[in-house]
Amino acid sequence: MNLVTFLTAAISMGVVYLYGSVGETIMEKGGNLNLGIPGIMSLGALGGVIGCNIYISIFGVDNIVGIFIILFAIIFAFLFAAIGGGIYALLTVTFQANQNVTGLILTTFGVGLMKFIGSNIDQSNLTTASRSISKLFTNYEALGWFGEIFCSHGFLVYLAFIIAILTSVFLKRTRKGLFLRSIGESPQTADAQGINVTLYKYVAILVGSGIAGLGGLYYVMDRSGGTTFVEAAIEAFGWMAVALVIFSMWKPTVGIFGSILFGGLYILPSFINVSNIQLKLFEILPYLVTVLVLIITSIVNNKNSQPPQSLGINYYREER
Amino acid sequence: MSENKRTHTPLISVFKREELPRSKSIMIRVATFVGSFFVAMFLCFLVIKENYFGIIGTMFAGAVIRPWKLLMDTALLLAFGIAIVPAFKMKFWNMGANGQVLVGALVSIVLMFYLGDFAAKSTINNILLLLLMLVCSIIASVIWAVIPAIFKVFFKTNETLFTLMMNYIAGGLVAYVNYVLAEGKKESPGIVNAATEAGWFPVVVDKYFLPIVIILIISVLIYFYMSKTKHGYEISVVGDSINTAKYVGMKTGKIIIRTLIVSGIICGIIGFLYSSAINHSINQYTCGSLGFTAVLVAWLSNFNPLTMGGISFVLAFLTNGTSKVSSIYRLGTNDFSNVIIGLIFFSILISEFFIRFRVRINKRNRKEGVE
Repeated sequence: MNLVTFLTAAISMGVVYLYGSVGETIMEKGGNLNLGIPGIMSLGALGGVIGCNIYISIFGVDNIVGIFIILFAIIFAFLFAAIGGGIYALLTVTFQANQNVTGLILTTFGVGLMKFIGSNIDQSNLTTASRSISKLFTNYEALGWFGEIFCSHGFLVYLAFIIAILTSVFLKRTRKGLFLRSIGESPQTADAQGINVTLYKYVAILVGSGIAGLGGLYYVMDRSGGTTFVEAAIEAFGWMAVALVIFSMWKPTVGIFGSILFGGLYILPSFINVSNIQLKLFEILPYLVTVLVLIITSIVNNKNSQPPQSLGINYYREER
Repeated sequence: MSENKRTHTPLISVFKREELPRSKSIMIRVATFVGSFFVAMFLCFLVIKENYFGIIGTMFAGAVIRPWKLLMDTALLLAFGIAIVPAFKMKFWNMGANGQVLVGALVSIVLMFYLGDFAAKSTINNILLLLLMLVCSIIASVIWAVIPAIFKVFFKTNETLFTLMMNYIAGGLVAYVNYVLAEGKKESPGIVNAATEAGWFPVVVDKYFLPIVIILIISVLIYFYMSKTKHGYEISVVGDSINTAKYVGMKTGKIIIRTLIVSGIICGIIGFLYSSAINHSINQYTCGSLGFTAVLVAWLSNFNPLTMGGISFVLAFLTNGTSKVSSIYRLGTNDFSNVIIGLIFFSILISEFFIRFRVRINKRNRKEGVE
């Protein structure tokens, strides 16, 4: 097994989870458990593909400039995913609907919409578009193993790490981040302090969803080379992303390493010599590890690794 | 006037309602459903661009053209709902009905596969096999359901995510065992015992008749379990307030685990029915997303089994109808029905808000004293 290619692939796979989990972390810090992540990531993938197609229809397939088409894709992926998040926010924050139920419906809806529209969409240029999206640097081979592991990726990989770090700084070091966390712990107290709970929740859900949506875009247009759009296993990745939030104990920086671990487990079978039959068993591994982590974090019961106090509970102001 | 400005009245005020009369709340729900159905169909019309009423006609015809399938789909959704309702009432979010059913079905299939020759010898042997399948299926499902419950009770492990992960572990196991059964040559052995029909449920009236009857019987039993027994009462107390339950001396841990055993038993029976009566084969996607849809059904019906039956029927109707629409108008996959169902559910959730709350729009320049 070649460690360099393995690590490279693990990072590249892990980023799918990282986007989803950073987005979900932002929402959960505001007290919203969004089980619609698989749907939101699917919507992001759909938006990204549509963005690419629009770019190509404007500028033509011969004039693809990596950074511009990525920009198009990101804007549309973010927008589509944020619309999905907007539905969730409207239902749970304004209309007080149950968060789990709303999330599940959003998943059904989002995955369905991606596959439905996706199967009717023009996919002929996606592989071409993907080629210019999935590499940011050239000549990275000159740097040896370092170049391979750290410089061979597309822009979206680095963006994911940047977003994760920025999110961590935002939550831990800024005033607004503190406000958001306080809403997640106790919206009543935050409200009494004069913090606009509804506004914070809306923004957290919209931004968090948008970020999660980039995971879908990344998977379809970068990781899988624009080939596996409709049959993409984004739904399963979405659930893994939700699991990664717990694994990382609501810390995006820990999530970076967690995502590489999860990614590594996912791609492990193709790097070691296993028969097709054993391969099926290996596919269970990431889920087993997540379960183990769930159990361990709950047994350890450390104060710093606990979910926000009001997670999953809607805030109704008149009920104090 | 300046005094008035200081006491700012919001444009919209929201109040919690007293309980709406039952007839009125049902009316709101039905109206929402019908309204959102026609809107969804209109979106569908925008996509297809053919006769609006033709599409709705296709939808209805597609739903009822195979009445037994429609009833079976309804019954299955109801069964999944019944399986998770006891836990739900306790606020235990069991998202793992899919996995629990899958392991049961898997164990049944394995037994069918290896004991098929034995069972084909005589009717008695076949009955023995069926019984063995039922028992083992139930044991497997109960184990799958109880593991998260035990950790929930002892370590407060988050059950939503635990049960969710158990779905994928079960799915992986199914893929693995299928491969083993097919000796690594194919993905799965396909339909088991197609020639001998060993381990197959007897067919009365229709292939789906007996499974439907069994599910109906289970539903009635669970209804009584929930509403007329001490166990059912304890479940509702734990669900309302776990602290109250503790104060009055209930062993909440025991109740949670016991309730998940009940869930597991039902899932085991469903799994057994899948293998012996419905599919005679298994794959990772055998249950589709019934386990999740059932969560919605259970929630929207407010855990009332009769309402659950109604909602299940409507959903099965929509799924079958829209899949016909997709195939007639070449919309590609079946995913179209998920979009429609999603839209309708969103509307219903919004209507739930208006059933629970009263909204008043305050006119800004209303004169004081005139209310």
